[in-house]
Amino acid sequence: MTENDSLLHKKILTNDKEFTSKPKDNKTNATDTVNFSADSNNIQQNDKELCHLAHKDENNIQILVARKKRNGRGKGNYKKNAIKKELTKEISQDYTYLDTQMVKEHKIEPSNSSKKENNGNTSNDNNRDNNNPNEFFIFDYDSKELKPTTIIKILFISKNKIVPFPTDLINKIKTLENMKMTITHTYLKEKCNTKGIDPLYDERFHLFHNSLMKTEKKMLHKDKVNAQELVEKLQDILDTLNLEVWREYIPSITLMKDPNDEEELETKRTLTIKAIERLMEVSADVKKRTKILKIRQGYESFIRITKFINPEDTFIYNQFEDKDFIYGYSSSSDEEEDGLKTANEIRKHRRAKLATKFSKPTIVIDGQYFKIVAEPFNKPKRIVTFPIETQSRVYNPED
Amino acid sequence: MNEKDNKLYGLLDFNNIRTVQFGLNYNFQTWYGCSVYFNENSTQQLGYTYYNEIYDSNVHDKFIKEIVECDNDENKVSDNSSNPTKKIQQDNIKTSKNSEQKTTLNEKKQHWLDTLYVCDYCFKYTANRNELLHHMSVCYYKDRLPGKIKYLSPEYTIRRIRGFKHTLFCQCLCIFTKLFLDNKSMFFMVDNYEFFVVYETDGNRPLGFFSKDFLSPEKNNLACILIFPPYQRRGLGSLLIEFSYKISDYEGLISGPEKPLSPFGLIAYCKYWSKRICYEFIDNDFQENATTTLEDISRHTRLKTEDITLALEYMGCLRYSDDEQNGKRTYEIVTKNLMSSIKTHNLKHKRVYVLDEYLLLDI
Repeated sequence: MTENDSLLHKKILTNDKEFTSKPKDNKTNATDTVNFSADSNNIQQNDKELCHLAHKDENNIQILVARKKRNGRGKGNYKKNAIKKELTKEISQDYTYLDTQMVKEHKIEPSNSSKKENNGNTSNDNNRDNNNPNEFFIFDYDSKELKPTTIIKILFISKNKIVPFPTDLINKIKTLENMKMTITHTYLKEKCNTKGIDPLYDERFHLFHNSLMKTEKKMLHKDKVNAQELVEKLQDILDTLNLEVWREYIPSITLMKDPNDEEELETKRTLTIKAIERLMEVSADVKKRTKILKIRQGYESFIRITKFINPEDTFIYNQFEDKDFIYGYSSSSDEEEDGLKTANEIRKHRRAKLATKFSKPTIVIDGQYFKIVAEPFNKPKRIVTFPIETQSRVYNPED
Repeated sequence: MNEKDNKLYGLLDFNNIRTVQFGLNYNFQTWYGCSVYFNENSTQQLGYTYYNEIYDSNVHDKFIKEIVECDNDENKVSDNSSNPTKKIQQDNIKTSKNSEQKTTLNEKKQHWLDTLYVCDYCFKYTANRNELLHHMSVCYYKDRLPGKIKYLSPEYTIRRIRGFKHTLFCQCLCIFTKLFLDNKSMFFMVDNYEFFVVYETDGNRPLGFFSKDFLSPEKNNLACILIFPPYQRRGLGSLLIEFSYKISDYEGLISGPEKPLSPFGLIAYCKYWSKRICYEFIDNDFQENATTTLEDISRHTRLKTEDITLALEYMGCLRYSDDEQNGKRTYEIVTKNLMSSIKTHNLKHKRVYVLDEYLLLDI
């Protein structure tokens, strides 16, 4: 980094429009704000730094425009929004499947506190930018943000400032004013054909729908591949953080205010490990649910899965989210319940069907003032019975 | 279609279908365009008719043609139908066609289809009026409603339809919803989705639905929701939203809808979240001059913390003050605003749409 470049960075960050330096090449500059030194050796480095800085500070996008025009890259007018999209694409390329999770938890955009630090410690930031392109964990949240654990007072009246509803969403609600629809009532009549043939039979749609299903499958496959790559990356990061030499690697993984502060290093190490483990759990959960889906579709049989539940075990006296894991379970068909009119009738019919299949009784354990009732495929209940009162009250174990 | 349209799969910035004939009884405009009904090589024909002509000419059998064409009524494409209201509209189309010939850019932004005919039992679609009328008399889903009943009240029934079981039904439903929802990108890969469709208990026509992605990494309880235009303003949206939260309560999850929300969805959800929060603050445990956290509120209401903050901002009862010495910010919830927001937003916080006695989630 030359002295001019370091000065350049300082001025960029403070948005000093008076700063100029004579260009070594005789190329004209597209903007009036800033002129750059045009060392061919430093162009690539400067471009990377500018990309990163432009992402941090929106005003510096003008500088990026100037650089791109001067070097003859691209044609036409670059707009702010278009450049923003390009920059966000570079950053969000790797994580498409879990990117929402990442952005929420880790906030890939740097916080305001980091901007203040940049003015004082440009050299450290420059080293970080140049040597650590993979950094994407940030735990330095703004202290003024409302977090899930911040204590909130409950008052009847207050004169303090209101936290406003976001303007994007207000504009979205305003679009409803233009979304008026006139519904006209038509009195068309069916046309009965003697042959009873449906002109819109299913096979007519199959070719077209199957071809578009393939394109959507390809799109989903790409997302899955990207997600798998991300999971492998995260596993590598976890392995490096468990090495003895983790202190050398952690500044490249998470944002550090002071790489020499050991407390900060250890706290951020634990935080990154927790965050990575959480993401790995999410991916494992998705894999489990894909297996369940395959069972439902009939692509996998019960026997291949090692952790299926034997109906002879007492586990059957539990509420199951996914009864498809249970050997021999099948959902009732649509047509069996056509004649049933109330919810209670349907409930009895379904329970009777399960009882005949699994033939497990309801267990009732009597106590002095209560009973415990265990039914198949339901949470056990505690019923309070008083000798004087005739009605019984049902308590959930969670209360 | 342009390359841009291919990149934004299914999305268009103009309405390419002018009106929809929904069953026999309703005709209305669309809010958004949908390119998925058409093939990329031909915007003048529906995709399946184009494919069948090119790849297999015997699919559309002769005897079906005879049935459709033997009518004495109109047997031509929908542009020339004899509906009196359409005559006025046809004149408009003629003049617009003249202007199309002049400019090539405007061609792509005109209607690709004047009227799309959609069956209101199964959502199959056609550009031919007679095909729909013949289909309506023999539609499979007219007498056999799909899916398993998950809620049965005297007024409404909610059925769970699995995407991999009734694939064509769900695909046609997804394409139809694109005409009314801006952010929808999945139309044909419906194996991962479950569709919860609401019917009148004695009826056989779907009134609205919501879908749920079984493989959602964030375990969202709702992917997209739509009440069909003729049946809006009946409280069905609130019914479905409440039902989706009952499902996530049954599964033991603190969950919420997939974002971004549509304009109608945003209002419906803000009202629902506000209603839940008001119920907890006014009728339940939270007392005045106490403190709480978003996590506490989330535990009681079973809503996500981000949804709770949005609801509090919507009601205008979240306030803040900055301490200049510490640089910290303190937050407050003002209960007076909660009471007033019940009136201004017409929340009716004590009204419950889904009753537990009619739920059939456990079995």
